Amino acid sequence: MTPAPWNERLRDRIPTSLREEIDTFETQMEMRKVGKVDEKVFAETRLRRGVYGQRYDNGQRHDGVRPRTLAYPRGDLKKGPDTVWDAPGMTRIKIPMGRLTNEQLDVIAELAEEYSDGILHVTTRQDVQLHFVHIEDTPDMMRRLGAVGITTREACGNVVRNVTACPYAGVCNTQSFDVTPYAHALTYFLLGHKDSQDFGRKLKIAFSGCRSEACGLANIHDIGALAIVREDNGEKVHGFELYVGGGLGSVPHQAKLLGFVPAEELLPTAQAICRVFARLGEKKNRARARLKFVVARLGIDEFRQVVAAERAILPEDDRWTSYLGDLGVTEETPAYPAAPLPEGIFKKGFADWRRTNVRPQAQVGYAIATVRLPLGDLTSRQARGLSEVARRFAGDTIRLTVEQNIVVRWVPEARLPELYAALAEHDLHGPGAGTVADITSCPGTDTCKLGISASRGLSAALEQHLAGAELDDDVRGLRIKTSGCFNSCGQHHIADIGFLGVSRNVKGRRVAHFQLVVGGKWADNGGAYGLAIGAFPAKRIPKVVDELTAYYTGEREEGESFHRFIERVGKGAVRKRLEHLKQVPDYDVDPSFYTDWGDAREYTIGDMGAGECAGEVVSLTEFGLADSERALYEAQSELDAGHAHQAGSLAYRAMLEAAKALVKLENIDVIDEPDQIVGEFTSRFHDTGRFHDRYAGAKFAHYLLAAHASPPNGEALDEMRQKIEEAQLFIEAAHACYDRMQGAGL
Amino acid sequence: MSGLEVQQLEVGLELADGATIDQAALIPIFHRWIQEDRLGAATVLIDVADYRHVPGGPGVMLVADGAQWRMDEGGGATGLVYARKRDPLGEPAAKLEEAFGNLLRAAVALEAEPALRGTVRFAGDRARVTVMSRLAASGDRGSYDAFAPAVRAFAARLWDGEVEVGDATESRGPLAVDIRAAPATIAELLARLT
Repeated sequence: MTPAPWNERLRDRIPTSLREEIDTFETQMEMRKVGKVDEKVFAETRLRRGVYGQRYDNGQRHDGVRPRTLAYPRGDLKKGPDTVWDAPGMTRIKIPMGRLTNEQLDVIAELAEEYSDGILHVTTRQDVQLHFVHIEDTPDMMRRLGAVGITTREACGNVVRNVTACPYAGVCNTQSFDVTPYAHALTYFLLGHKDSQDFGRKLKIAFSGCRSEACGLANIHDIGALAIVREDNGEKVHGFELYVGGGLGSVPHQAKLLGFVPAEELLPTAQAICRVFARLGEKKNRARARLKFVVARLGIDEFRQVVAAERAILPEDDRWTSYLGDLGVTEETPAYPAAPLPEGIFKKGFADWRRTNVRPQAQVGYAIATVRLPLGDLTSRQARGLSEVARRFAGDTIRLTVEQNIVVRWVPEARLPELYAALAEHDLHGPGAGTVADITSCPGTDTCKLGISASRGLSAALEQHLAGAELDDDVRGLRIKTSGCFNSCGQHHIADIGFLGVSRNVKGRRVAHFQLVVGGKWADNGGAYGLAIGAFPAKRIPKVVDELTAYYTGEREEGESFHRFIERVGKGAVRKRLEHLKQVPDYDVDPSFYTDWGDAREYTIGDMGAGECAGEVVSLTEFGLADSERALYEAQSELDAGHAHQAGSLAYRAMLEAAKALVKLENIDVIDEPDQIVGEFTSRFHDTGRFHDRYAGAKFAHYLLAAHASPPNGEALDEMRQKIEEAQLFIEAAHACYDRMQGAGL
Repeated sequence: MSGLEVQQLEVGLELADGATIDQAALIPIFHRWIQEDRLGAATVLIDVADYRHVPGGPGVMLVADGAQWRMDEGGGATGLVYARKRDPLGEPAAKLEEAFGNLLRAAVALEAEPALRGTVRFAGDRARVTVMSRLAASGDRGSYDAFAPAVRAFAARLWDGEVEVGDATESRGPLAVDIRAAPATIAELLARLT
């Protein structure tokens, strides 16, 4: 008995628009497989659906002895430039504000064990990533996610990425107010918004409820929103200080204050920033294409003026304020009444766990428990166990944190011992959350194409090293963060002690190294960026940490923080103190230095590939032309099935899509309405002769005009076949027109 | 037989009582297997994933095109698991044959690994079969009843005698079936398949 496929089984549980998007993506995949969509366009298309590349997906891997070709079944078929179709990839599931229901967690757990490697990886931006996924499994994954209210749309690519927020929002003692409903509104306002589709690179947004803590990291984002309550004529006004142009990466920039916006101006201001970024952001040089470069180039004063001018001309949109009437949309109801923790003798380990993993809520009698995930990983079985625990002790939701952990909120304090015991049943009771042994790490060389050194291998080794060490209390509270390369996905710039992967040539052999970064500030929403002070062999990093922390505990002044200590002694002194640890023994003396952490192969950087973090810069016109070809492909399918009427309609739709794509070159606001599309196409491209073919003149344009005047709706297959051929010629002419305009620099 | 079609089978063998495994030692072994195409040229071995940091996790994993082997530590026992990832729905008998073949070949190779110095031995009197695909099997009692006869028939052939099967499905987990049989060596089991 063959079961019904997921698209049939879940048909009634997925919102129509999302269902159609996923069906469209599946069609685009089929078109790519038969060469009917350009690989660059397809790459950006899949990225915008959260379907990412992964290390070795170019079909090459160094096995420790020599580079080898991985003989994938369809090695010639590509899903992007230099990216083999059958190579496993990563699927990024965006979780807005890191807020997950137990049902959603259960579904992600299922997907991880069915399609991935059984591991859910929590990222520093509150996403969940699944690795080793085949692209052909992704549409069903999207459907199953869609059935529980999750979309992977715009999880990657040059778009607005996951909107993050403080995981304690709503239950925090230091917040101005709960940012969750505002972040929720902005997430779904910008998702798929036409003004956020034409960026040269990604745009990241974060919300924080307070100024002094780190949890929201508003300062390191393109747009950081800091909750503020202002007094205005005796009335309290809820709003946000908006910070813009922050970002880590290879060139970290501190965010600049754009200004205060009341809540009703949050969405339109963000929309205006998106439009400015789309218009003024770099499109060719991706290394300088983030918003921070626009802010730096213009200066914050001019940027502020440009945004204000853009805001002033925005057409009114009801959605800007309609959500304010329902701020309870993200409200959580505790499952159990509050109750204080009684005095008593508790199970071994509980006290240590409580000290590091539990914090009181703003609501008296409730606590927030942090589930510490080593390197952000948990198994599917653990995820199911965690959702069960959350149901038993807290309520319906959990939140992912930017430190790659999970918090369970609304736990009655009296039930903390039971919660601890229940977590222990699933190996989720590890203490030390938010301590020096709770290390944040990007995927590095494990799975990332850009990884230079094994950040996860190093982090695992450091966690093990520190977990068994007797640590000074001030050292215990430090943050260590590691990145596998300079792109800073592990957020090393804002750690007390940060590491980024580099490589060094030692007597003709490559040796994995990490640059040590000190002086960063985790608090104050990522308040200061550290500086690299030298590269050390990867295998010496545990010793580097030992000596650096010993230097601090030995020579700190009373009450002096690590950050202050580094400022006082200076980076030169730190460098001098650690200089002796830079030595690499000869290969014959200690070959272990020539392998990386967690990898038996001799170290090489030959496996690095082109990253997809930046995505492909694909213009709206290129996307539109791809859409037109998809419609034409579907028209042909309908014709093959004997559905003449549907084939004719789709052929007409294909021409409209192509015409709209061209119009968007000059009018991004063109609406999806045939009269307007054809009217604008006629005035801009037909009447001006710009669309005309050198030999055929206006012939191809007239196919569209004729179809618009009398849309094809007959039942004669031959007639509709003719319409499809005309549409094909029209689309080709649109491509040629676009090429001519690009060639002319228009 | 109900005609149930399955896919994405996982099959596992626990370590024998008293046997141990140093997961770290598997990293160079699996990398060498990739270098040497140890599991046959038809299997595209891709990489080694290290999950030793996850308590009760998949340990060290050998990742192939459409399949994985891992020294799993979940569920309170350590053992070798073979996971088929990307196969179409099909008859259980052929799926079980294919999965156990891939599991046993790797198990025999590990028992013979010089680097492990004979410390690794697998229990030849028990195994677990899991249908990861929720499309094929929801994990409820009905799906167990539909699948268990096929597992029993296959296991009786593999162990060449009486076997017991039982429902090992965890709450909200995938359909899992445990097999209990008379002791046999892994090599004997593999020989019966080939």
